[in-house]
Amino acid sequence: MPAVEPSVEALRAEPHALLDEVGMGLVLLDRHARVRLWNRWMERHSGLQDTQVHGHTLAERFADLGEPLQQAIRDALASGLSSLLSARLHRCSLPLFDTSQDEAGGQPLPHSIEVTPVNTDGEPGCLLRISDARQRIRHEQFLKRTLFELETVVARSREQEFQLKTVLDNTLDAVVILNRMGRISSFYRSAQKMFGYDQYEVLGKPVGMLLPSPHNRRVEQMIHSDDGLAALDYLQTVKGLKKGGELFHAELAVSSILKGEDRQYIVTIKDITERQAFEEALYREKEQAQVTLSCIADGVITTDIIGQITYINPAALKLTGYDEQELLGQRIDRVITIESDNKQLPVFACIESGKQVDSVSGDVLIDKQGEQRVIHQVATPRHNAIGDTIGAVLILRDVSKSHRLANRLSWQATHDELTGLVNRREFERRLEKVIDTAREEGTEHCLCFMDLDKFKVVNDTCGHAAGDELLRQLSDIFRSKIRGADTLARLGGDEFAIILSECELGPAVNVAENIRMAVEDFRFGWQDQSFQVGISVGLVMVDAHSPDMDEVFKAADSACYAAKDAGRNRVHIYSPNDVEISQRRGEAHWLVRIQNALDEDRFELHYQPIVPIADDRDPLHYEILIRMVSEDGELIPPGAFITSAERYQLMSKIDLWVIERLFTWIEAHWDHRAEAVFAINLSGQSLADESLLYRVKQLIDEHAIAADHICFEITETAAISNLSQAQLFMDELRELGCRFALDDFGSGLSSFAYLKSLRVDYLKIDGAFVKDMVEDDIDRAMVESIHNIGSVLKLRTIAEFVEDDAILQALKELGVDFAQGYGIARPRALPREGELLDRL
Amino acid sequence: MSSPTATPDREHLFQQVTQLALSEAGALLSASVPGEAGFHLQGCRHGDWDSLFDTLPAEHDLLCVAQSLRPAERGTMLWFCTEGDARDLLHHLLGEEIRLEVLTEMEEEALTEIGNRIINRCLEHHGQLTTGIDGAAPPRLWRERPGALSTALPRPADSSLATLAELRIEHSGRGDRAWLLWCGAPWQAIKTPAVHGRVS
Repeated sequence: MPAVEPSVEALRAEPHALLDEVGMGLVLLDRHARVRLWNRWMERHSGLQDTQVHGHTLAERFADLGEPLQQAIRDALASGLSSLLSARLHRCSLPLFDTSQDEAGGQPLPHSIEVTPVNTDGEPGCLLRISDARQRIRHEQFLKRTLFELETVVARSREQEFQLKTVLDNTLDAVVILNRMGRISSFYRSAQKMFGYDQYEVLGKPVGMLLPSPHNRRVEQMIHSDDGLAALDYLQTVKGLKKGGELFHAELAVSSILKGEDRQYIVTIKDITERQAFEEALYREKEQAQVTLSCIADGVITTDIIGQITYINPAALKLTGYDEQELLGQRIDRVITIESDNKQLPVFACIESGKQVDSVSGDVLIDKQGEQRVIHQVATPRHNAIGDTIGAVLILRDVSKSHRLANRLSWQATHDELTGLVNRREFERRLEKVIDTAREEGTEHCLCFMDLDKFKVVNDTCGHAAGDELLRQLSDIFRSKIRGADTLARLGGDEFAIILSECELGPAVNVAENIRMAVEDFRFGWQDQSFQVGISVGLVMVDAHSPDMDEVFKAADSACYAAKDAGRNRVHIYSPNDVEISQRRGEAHWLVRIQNALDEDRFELHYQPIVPIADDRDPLHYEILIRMVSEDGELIPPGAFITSAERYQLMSKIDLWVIERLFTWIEAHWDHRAEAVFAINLSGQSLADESLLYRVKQLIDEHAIAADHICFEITETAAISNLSQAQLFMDELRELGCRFALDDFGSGLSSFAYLKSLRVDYLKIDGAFVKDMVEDDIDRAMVESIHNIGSVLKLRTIAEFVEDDAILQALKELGVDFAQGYGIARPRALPREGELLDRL
Repeated sequence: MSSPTATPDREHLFQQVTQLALSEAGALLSASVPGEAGFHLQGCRHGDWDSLFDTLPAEHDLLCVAQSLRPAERGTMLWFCTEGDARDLLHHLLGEEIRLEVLTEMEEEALTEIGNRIINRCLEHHGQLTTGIDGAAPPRLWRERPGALSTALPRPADSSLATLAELRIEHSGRGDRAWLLWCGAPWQAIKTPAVHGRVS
């Protein structure tokens, strides 16, 4: 409200200057509401001079004069009522302006008006006091703004306090506030849940009631000794004590805060029971893993995403030859040297692809000392919990030994053990390649076949060891006469061969002659004896026109024969005539050999046991086998000469020789009381030979053979091709008591139909079905089928080619009666005395 | 309580005129401010100055707009309400969002004007029915407990007769209390029933 309230008299009495300096607007209206007084303040803020308004009503001068002011003037003039028009409700009752600014007109001036009835010399009127409300309004705005901000701060603070309390009440960790004395002043719900206390049970109590000794004393001492100069920060693993007395592992953190002048302590307790158990389990697992990694023979290296080594086990350290400190943190490709055909190390390939990478064995690790090892590498990516690749695990396996073994086996498969030369199989492979090269490139090569002369003399005189040594020494001589690019092989026995690579006939002949002369000049010494041997060499050129390998081989072989045929110790160059000569000589060769063997009694009887596997009471059988003894004393299996024998109709003679020799042996060496069956092979020619039948019957009688101890084996093919003779033969001998077995049964085309007409006692199941019956279901089914048919026809079954216990077991399961094969017993010479292999 | 001289007819007339004045005051106020409020007469009580003050709620501060009447023997006319109700009324009328715990100077001035309007309208209308009231001095605002207010306000010479009218202020869906207090017996000056067709 205005500070000065002049009365009308004062207004009259005082000079205008005073009225003008009162700091408020003064307007005096007469009874007709006409202006009688308009002070300077009004002039300044209305823009109207006293002269402009004097004698006029305010409504005449101000078109928009508000009704409240007019009402107030009326109330004053008519009823003598005083009125107040506040600036808050009206703002600008009169159009007044703030003239403190330079701009024309200025801003509207907020003001209050007090209207008071007055009496001037008995004349009623009214006085308007107008006061500037700007400052009051500004003050009010300031207060309200400040209050608003304050209330906002308070509200925010309250909100934060609420949020904090909510957090503290609901956090998993227990939160307890202690006062400066170490007494509990706040015990949030989280702590209540953890310890089982209500807050009222603990408020004011020392924190020690939540911790067992000595942790409680330690915390209390710490608080009591806190001088408040520095912030307290304490973290320790302790044991917590619940209301029920249960102890638990906890992590305790104490920090101090200053609340005004007062110090408080925030204690946070985390139950780490689960974490502890987890850490222990993790530790055990880690230890187990580390022990395992330390013990395994394979090297294990782990790397990070860029290939830096993060772990290496003892086996890997041993492989690489480095210390752990030399490798950890280093990039694997910078410290470990591995030679490989792969462009990228498996570690980096697997990190890049995110998949396991397995390098083919054959990489070479060069350790710190420079030693080389053949290794096998497998790299597996390592992933984090979200599946991102974070590195790799590399497994290194030293496969040097197996590599060497593999190499050795590979060498053994391609080389002759005795001489170290290439063997027949490898030689043929290389010859094939040379022939292809000759065809493709038009090159010329030479193939030499070499056969030693008089080698048998050394073998027969000094034994096989001398023969072997001779071969070794001759191999060295051959090696010295050829180039590195040439191939030298031992084909077998005393046969050798050479491929002279890219060599014309002339030089090839020279090489062959050199070898011949070297062998001729060579003297082999063995145990005070000296021997001279020779060599026959056949040469054939290999060029673009050469036929296939077999033909080339045959040609060289023929040339070698030709050299021998011409007198030995010479070199013969192949000509087309050589093949025919050789063939004829080959066949005639066997005819003569067999004849000579028969004449010279150079056959031997061998036997192989046939054991009963279904019924122990069955007698043991012995299959009688024939071997020819060559001029050199070597045993020649029947496969080498039987074909020729059959061709030249010599089988009957051979079969008769076997029967005669066996019966002689039985008579001389076998106890007739001993149960046994001797199985003798008969050829188809023998079945058709009446004279042989007659002779056999004679021999049985002459040697007093128990006919039921004799079983003749005839092949299914031989029987069918001579069926009527076979039936006659069998009937005649069966009458004497002999038995018959049908050999290689199952391989013929119409086996079962002829069984009814051939009165046999045994079926020998073709070995081709037996040897694979464990792995092959079809073979097993065949064996079973043959045995079943045999059983139905009351025939006993014999399985051939029983090579191991698994086959034997399978045969027993099927109920097969007898088994024969290398897995039972190998063939051996019929002993001079009568003791044969015992029953197994 | 009725004065021995306040007949039912005069009482009834008095109340009607008072209500009329209150309605006009409310209408005039609404023309100036964003909010609206209605003032309604609830009832009248007569007695001496102090006893009437004793009927007011003693636990709150009252904000009182007082105008001395002319001639002085006509006493003082008061309009008052509790401070809390006064704040609510003001903030509703002014459309305010930010409210302080106490009224600012400007708000006090506004409240003074509200009381002044009500008093002036009552005086104006009563003046048509009565004689002897020449006018009223400018309004003044007081803040006191009722007991202190009765002694702080300028008391007329004869305070044995006074009339306390209880009002209800309706705004914002609520009804707050206010009072009008005359010192003196305004109904005494009510003209004969001839004005209203009745014999006094």
